[in-house]
Amino acid sequence: MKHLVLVFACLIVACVPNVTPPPSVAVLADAMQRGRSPHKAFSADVSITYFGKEGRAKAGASLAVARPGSMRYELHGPHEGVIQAFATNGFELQLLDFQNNRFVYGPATPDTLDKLMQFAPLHQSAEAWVGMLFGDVAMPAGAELGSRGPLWGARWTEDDVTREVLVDPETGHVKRLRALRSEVVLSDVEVEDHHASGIPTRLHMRVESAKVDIEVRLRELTIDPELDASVFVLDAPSALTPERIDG
Amino acid sequence: MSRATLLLVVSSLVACAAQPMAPRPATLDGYMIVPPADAGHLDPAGVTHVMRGLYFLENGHPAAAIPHFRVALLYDASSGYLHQKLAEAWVSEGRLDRARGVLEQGLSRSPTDPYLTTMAGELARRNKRFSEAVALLEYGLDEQHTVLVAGSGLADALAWQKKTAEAEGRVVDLMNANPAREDLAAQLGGVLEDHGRLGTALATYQRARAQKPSSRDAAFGEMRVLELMGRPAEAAASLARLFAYEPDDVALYVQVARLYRRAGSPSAEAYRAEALRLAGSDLAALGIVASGDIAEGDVAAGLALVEEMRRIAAADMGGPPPIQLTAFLAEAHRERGEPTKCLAELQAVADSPDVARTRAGCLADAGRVADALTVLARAVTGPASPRELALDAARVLALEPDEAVARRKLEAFLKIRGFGPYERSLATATLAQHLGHEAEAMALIGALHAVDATNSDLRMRHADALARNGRIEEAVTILRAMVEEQPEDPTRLNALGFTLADAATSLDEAEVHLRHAYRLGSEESFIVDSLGWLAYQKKSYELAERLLVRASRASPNDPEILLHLGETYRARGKREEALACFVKALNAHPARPMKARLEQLVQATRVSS
Repeated sequence: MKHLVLVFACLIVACVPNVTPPPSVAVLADAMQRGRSPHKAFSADVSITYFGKEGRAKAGASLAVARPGSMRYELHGPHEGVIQAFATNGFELQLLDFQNNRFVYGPATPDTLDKLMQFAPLHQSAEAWVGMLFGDVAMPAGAELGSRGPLWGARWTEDDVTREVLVDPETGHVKRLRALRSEVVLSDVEVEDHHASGIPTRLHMRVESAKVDIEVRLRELTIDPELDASVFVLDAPSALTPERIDG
Repeated sequence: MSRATLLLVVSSLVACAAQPMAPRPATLDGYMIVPPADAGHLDPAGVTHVMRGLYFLENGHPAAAIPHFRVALLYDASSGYLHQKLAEAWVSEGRLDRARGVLEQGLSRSPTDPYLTTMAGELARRNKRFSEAVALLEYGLDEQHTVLVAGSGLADALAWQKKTAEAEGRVVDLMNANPAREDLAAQLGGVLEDHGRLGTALATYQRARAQKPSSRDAAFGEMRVLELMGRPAEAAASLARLFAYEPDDVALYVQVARLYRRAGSPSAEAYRAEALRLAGSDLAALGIVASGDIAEGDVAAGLALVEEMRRIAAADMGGPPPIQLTAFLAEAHRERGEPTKCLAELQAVADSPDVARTRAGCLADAGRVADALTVLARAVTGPASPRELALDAARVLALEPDEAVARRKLEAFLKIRGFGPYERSLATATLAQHLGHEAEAMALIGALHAVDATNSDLRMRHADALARNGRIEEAVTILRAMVEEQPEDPTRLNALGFTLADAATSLDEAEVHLRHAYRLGSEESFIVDSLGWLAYQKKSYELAERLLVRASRASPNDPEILLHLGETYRARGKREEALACFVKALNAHPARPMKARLEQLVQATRVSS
């Protein structure tokens, strides 16, 4: 039955004719600018449904995000206690892992972010992570343009990673974001719903290599809360020896 | 992090900042406070976030404090103190649901912490979960920092459950256990006053004053209760005892004079004279005396005093008198239903945008609707907000005899003057309400409220519109939530109490809310009116008359107060007085539904006399 539904869904998609691609990168960028959330920060409660090697798991988290590259989350355990906290200000990152009694810190690079945020190794910078959570994608002027079904598309390669983005021409909202290396999909993020503010509230992330499939839903969104810089830095508890990570 | 540890850190930080470098002590004795054995582990990593959180919370930025307390909790997840502070920040943000979540989490780790239980109990009390509140608040009674909230909350929760004797017993126990806490006694007196236990409330206030004779809260509590009991002379004499501690307080002399005036005592004039002597040429102090005169119905004396203030101000500044005094005089004439005098007063400053709204109101009252609209149109560049001007325009146009013309003119006014969709909807709803189209008004305000659900003004207006359409339950649901969020806001308490009283449902609940509102603003005519109307609904006509006469003295041209007073006179068989009230209310330009009701009442009163 599941296969039948998938086939049926594919048929429906196949039936939708491709729209005319955007005439230029500038036109696509303008559309994305229209759909872009104008806000600078938000915080939210997050429901996470995780399908991975270990099976299916549900968890709650708190999330705080501020442009350009600041992000903090706390992952809650089954009894509401925090089991993991992560923070980055775009330059440095820290992970406080209460389950394994570890405190890890280091520079915020795509590699270190992938290592510490193992549930979603999207191989992107902190700034790109924050942009994605706001529903933004930074696109170079030389991007290749196209379309898929009713959506406009763009594709470009940087540092041997090819990125694809699909955008709704009417709303300007980013609907899908993929990263590929040698045509092998590294990560695939679908934005399934947006808040009226333009902030994505439902994201579906798939990372083939890690066999990870995550659905993220944002609730209790607070737009532009007062978040000062120190909220995005975690200090090591005195009982733990800080471990440095580089990448 | 325990409180003791935190206090130690705070004390040492303050000490470090304030003291110059001292020589190293030979021993630590006398230089360091040894933390108590149960102080617990203090992780320095979390302290900076605690301090930042406290700083933001104390400076009125709870939203900024929240992330810091959350981070601090990473380092001490079992701290009752941090859970309490985080919950406090959520309460300040109006997010009671989030505060409850945090408290539940804290209580799961520290179930008897007096701070957490007191706060959780207080939130349960506000949410009318009284049994739960009582159980939680018990834990806060033995701690000096929590006993005030826990004790008064406990007595209130018991009284709401109709366990009045138990509530009064607990009040006595608490006062015996805390003989030096006059603040607790005054607070407990307030709870008894709210629940209509005037005798025990009076005794409690008197005991608080015996503990601390200079207590203003207790003195004003005693005064309020005596006055509600119909003993204004005793209320004045009781308040006058405060002069031993505050001999130069002009407002206190004015209040005592007002009470003696209500008692018909010649002492009133002596206290007023003393207030004037103390005020000298201080304009603010003279303003207090003048306002007191006008609120008690001695308009001639009040206005003469404002004239005197104008002369003083002009002599001091060597120029024309301040426009605020002119506006005050004009407004006073308008409130007394004398638009011609109001306009004459404003003649010299007619072009000033500062008086545009008052002038437009007086022009409309004088029947010059078109001129009023022109003044409002010119005022767009002045200090009045677009919302105020749009609402004024709607009220002015409600006086147009032809409804279609009124609607067309309002539409044109709002369009030409570039008002936004919010002001346009609100003004259209106001006009509809004045014209008697309650369903239309409710739909417009409901749509605005749906878009901006947290706007207090819209919530209040929506509740009012629902109540006018007979949807009392929905109105009360909105107002109960507003009171739960800010239980010490007299306007919200009054709105909830009046809605219940006017619908003649849940009069007991209405009474508690209105008595509470009265405790917080006993000289506000709209609150005195509501309490009077409640007394009418409860058939306590003598009390109703006393309160409504007081309200109508302060706001003599308010059609709603006049209607309530007229109904009360009618119930007491005073037909002449009732008729006079109804006729005066009809001349005060009421909205059409009230006008129709007043016309019926005039008819019925004439027939029966």
